[in-house]
Amino acid sequence: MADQETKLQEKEDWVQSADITPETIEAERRELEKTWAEPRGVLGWFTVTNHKTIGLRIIVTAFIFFLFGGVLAALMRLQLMKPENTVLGPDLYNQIFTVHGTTMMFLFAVPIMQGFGIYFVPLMVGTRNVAFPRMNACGYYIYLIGGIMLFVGLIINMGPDQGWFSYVPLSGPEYSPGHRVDLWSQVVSLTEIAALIGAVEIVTTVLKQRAPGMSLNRIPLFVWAQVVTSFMVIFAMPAVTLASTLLSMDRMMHISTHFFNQAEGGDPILWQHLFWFFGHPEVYIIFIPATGFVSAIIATFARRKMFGYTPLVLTMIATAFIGFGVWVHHMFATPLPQLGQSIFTAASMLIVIPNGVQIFCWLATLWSGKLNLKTPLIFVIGFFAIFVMGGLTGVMLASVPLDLQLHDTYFVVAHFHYVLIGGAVFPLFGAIYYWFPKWTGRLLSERAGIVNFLLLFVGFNLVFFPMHILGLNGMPRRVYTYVPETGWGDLNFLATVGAGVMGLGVLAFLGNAVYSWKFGLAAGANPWGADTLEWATDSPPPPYNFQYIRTVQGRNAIWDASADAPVVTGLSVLRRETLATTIHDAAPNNRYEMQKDSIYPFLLAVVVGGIFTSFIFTPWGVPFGVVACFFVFFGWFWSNSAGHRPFTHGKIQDEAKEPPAHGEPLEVNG
Amino acid sequence: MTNEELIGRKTLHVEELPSTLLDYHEPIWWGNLLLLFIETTMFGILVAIYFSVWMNLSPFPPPRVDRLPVLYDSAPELLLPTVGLIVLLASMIPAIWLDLSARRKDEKMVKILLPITLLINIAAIVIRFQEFDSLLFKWDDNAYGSITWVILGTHLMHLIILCAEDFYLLAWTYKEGLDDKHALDLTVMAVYWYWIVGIWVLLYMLVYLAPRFL
Amino acid sequence: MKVKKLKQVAPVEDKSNFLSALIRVGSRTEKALSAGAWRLIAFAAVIISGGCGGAQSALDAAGVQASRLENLWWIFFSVTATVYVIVMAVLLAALARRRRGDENTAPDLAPDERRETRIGNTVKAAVAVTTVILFALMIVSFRTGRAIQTLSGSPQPLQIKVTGHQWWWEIEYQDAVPSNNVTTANELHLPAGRPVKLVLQSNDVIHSFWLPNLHGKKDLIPNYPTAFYFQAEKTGTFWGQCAEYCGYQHAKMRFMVTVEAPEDFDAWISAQRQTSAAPATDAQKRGQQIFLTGTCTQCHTVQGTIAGGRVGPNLTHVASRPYIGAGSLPKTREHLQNWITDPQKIKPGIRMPMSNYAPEDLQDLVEYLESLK
Repeated sequence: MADQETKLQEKEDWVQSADITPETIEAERRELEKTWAEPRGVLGWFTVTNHKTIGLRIIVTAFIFFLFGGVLAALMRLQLMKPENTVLGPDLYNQIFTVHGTTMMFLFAVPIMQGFGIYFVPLMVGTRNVAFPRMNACGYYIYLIGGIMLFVGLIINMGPDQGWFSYVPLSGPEYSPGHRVDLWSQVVSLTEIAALIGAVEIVTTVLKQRAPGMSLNRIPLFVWAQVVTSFMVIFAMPAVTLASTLLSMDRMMHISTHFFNQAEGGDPILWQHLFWFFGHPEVYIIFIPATGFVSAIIATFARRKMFGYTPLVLTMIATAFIGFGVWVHHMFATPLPQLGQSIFTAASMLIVIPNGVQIFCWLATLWSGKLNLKTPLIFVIGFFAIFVMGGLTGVMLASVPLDLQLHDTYFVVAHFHYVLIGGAVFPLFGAIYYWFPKWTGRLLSERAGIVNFLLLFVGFNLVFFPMHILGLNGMPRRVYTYVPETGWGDLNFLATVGAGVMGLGVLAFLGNAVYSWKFGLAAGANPWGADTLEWATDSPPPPYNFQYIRTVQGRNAIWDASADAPVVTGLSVLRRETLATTIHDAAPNNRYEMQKDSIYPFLLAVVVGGIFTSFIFTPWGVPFGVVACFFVFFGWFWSNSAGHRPFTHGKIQDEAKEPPAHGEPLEVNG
Repeated sequence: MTNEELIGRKTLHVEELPSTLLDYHEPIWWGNLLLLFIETTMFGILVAIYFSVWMNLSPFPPPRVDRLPVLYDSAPELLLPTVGLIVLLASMIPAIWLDLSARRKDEKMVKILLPITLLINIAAIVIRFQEFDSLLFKWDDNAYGSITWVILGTHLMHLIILCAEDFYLLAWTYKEGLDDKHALDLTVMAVYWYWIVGIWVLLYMLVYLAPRFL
Repeated sequence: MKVKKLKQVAPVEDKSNFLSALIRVGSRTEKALSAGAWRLIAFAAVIISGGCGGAQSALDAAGVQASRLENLWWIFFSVTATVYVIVMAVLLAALARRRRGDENTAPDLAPDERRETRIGNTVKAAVAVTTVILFALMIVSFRTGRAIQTLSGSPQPLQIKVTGHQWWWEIEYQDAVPSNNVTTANELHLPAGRPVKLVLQSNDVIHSFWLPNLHGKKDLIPNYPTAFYFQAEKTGTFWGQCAEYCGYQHAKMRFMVTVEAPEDFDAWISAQRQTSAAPATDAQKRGQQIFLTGTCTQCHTVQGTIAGGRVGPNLTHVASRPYIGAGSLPKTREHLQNWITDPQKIKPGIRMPMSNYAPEDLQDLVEYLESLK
């Protein structure tokens, strides 16, 4: 550890025994409270830019969509409970399974993972807000508008019914008249724009705003997971945003382009490539943040530093890379060249290796730790039991010949629910149990948590395990009913019973959350004895996160901190200022002023939402919308700049000591 | 940390660090770069679609059969687009100059260069609107028309955004003068500018040169 | 023992919306749950007895390709199941080790180096074994992939063209002599032991042809004609189904396959080559008149008559087919009548319109259709 000891102390010019006195602490805290105060009132709700408020809103909104999606799933299970059931007709069933898939992927899984990132990344890297707080707020409203649009569509019988991957020509103008598909593509575009904004926020925050001393090799695994995911978002989401826009242009009466129209040189298989080029990385965009949850929870509850930090980081990056090279395994049944198939089989199997490394490293940590068996860890154990099975059925699906039997059947339905619910939802519940005290200051009930876990775990396996067998027995996915002769009735009934049990599990969680929010045990700053920086501040954290930004002396920011670790002073308490640091070593670089609260993000989201909504029906909303955008942006920037200090030639330069030439004298690690 | 733990603790005093740096040390520079990653990916996908259409159509570009005589040589005309390319390349000179002046915080020079860049930008937009005619196809004629219109249109959109940004900075600088924040904005805008010109060189090769000479 | 309480309820017309469905669901849930609660016990038995198999199952292979795929499945299954058991055993062992801590336990920041090395070596070994297993599986998979294509280019395959329609299958047995071509719908007869070449195409959206007992699936993409080969070995009746979501009635796009001895197949195909049977009884004659003068002929073909529509299934030998509506219903007189009167009630969304025949006319029409053996 000696060489890990920060060398900050050596830079005597910068590290000093400053005059932190009880008086200055109190005075500065009062000023910080004023400077960072959240706006109040109804208008304040729309102007707030605090990353914790926005992050929590994303998490709660996404969880509500998760509940909606779950209700839709329950309806499908009721319809499939017995052969020739008539709870739902084909039209409604097709809308519901499409909306279920779209909701769970676009409105629940991706946003909730990003919501955790928006909330916790700035805390974990020890800064005061995300890099661009107003853009961040704007992203939330855009996402919210997209989500509302989808469910309004469903209620007014305009719910998309072409399946969540919208294969042309079924989703094209000829076979899906009406506006259901248009609504879908606008929802997708809106939510993906929001995801892209979130990704830019997270990457920039991590690159430039880490606490001094948090060099690249000290970034917590949760934050690494968020960064890797955000890079995947940046390269994957444009494909689907673009593809869905092109689809709606193909469908639009006054535009009628021919991107997917074979008669005019377009190509229906092009759609499949574009969609899965996004669609498979999407799985990892959901799964990698969940590995961040798992790593955070395991380290804390195994009471030891993570086994295999470096392999874990590298495997995340490897997964992200290979994840872009496997999309064709969704298309093995299409007429594709043999060579292509073999390459994608190899890549799809290869991606198991980094995932295996992760699993083994976590198991090693658990093996050699002193386990504190609390609910977050229990959910992680559920994650292992389910996700590993999903991963192994994934190996089967990577094999071209086997995939020809299993593709598009209930086996695949079982597989991806094992991967997504096992790989993302179980860690997510673990994460909620883990961080609930940070949000509310109160712990969730452990006992109710165990009931919640058992119901969810048993219910899950009852629903989805039989689906493997159903798929092998010939049941294709997306059928609204089946004839009795198929013999699928019994297992389907079992699955429906399981859905009821799962539903009880979710209810148990909701009850626990509501009760504990009011009456739970008080948590204190660090109830789990955890090591990342979000636990180094109050629960819930003050709007400015840290009165004094910490310096980081090791990989485990709290556990490694020496008793006299320096803190950062000298940031303005009158402006929303935080510290920008260098990319590799996180050496102090400059003071960075955050933007103020503003109504413009909300206005921009409304305009953008208006453009996309109008595009369902007519292209003519776009030019008006673009003009409106211009005005909003003008106001946005002008209001920001207006509050900025005027520039006087060279004044700042003169007053300061000779500023370090881009961080050089400040290198923390030499 | 409790107050007791804080009192007398060593500190890393950052008051004397600069508040704005005019380059890649600023978060906004990286935010801008990441947005350009996104847009580059967009163009990458559009290029892939272009090639997919190319593979589906033979001959490429398809002859124009909707009127007589049938036009077999339907590759886009080159004159106007080439003028447009030269204008964009020429705009690099004031753009770089503007970038450097902003970094020097040379307010006088910035005030001279901003209107010049804005004019060139507007010229490029006007030329682009004319360019659509040189394609010989409309967006709804066939997939080739669709993809070329969308490539040109997407790039046009960036030109318009750049124009708006330039206009905003011009308005600010003339009304309020130049300050740190806007000097930084100017350097960030310059990066955007270089990207727009650079990507257009590639797209020009793809849309105008490739169908004619390959 | 199964006390099936399943009524053959014809699906009601689907004019519901989301909200009304929610209300409906509530009232039905309770009834249905209690009606089926007894079955819970049977399920365990079903699963344990390996509920896999049957006339539409990938694990009840009846042909060369499907057996290879089934073998491959069991190889993958045994390997992955073993891996799963080992990983879970390690997890449980890690949990069972009596090393407990709580939030106040000092975190272990400098773990014992020898132990770390030992664990590290175990992890490395596990990764190595994983890689080897994956590589082996990849080779096995590749070999199977090659093996199931060995029939390609086989000299005398039986060639069948399958065209996907929303939501039925048009099937054409192709012969070197075009007049010997046979067109039927939703039903395949195959000779055991003879290679078959399926030529696939779609008429509208993407479908996927899947006959699990004989081969894996293949997508039917409009304007991407494709083909694959397989060979049936076991005689019997099998079912297949569209496996790519193709719209409203994707669920009811089934087809039946009869694998039979070559001589039975020859008998069947020569019967199918005949033009339609001439009506024998008065009722049948009247029925034919109704058929030929009504709207039926616009969409349906009956060879030997003027009916030549190509929109719907070919009805030349409709009476020889055991199901109607692409496997929706067994072909009984009653079902046929209901189907003709109001197909939208049985299979909402299809292109066949309702019709309004007088009861005697309907009787005669059905009489005629039943005669088209």
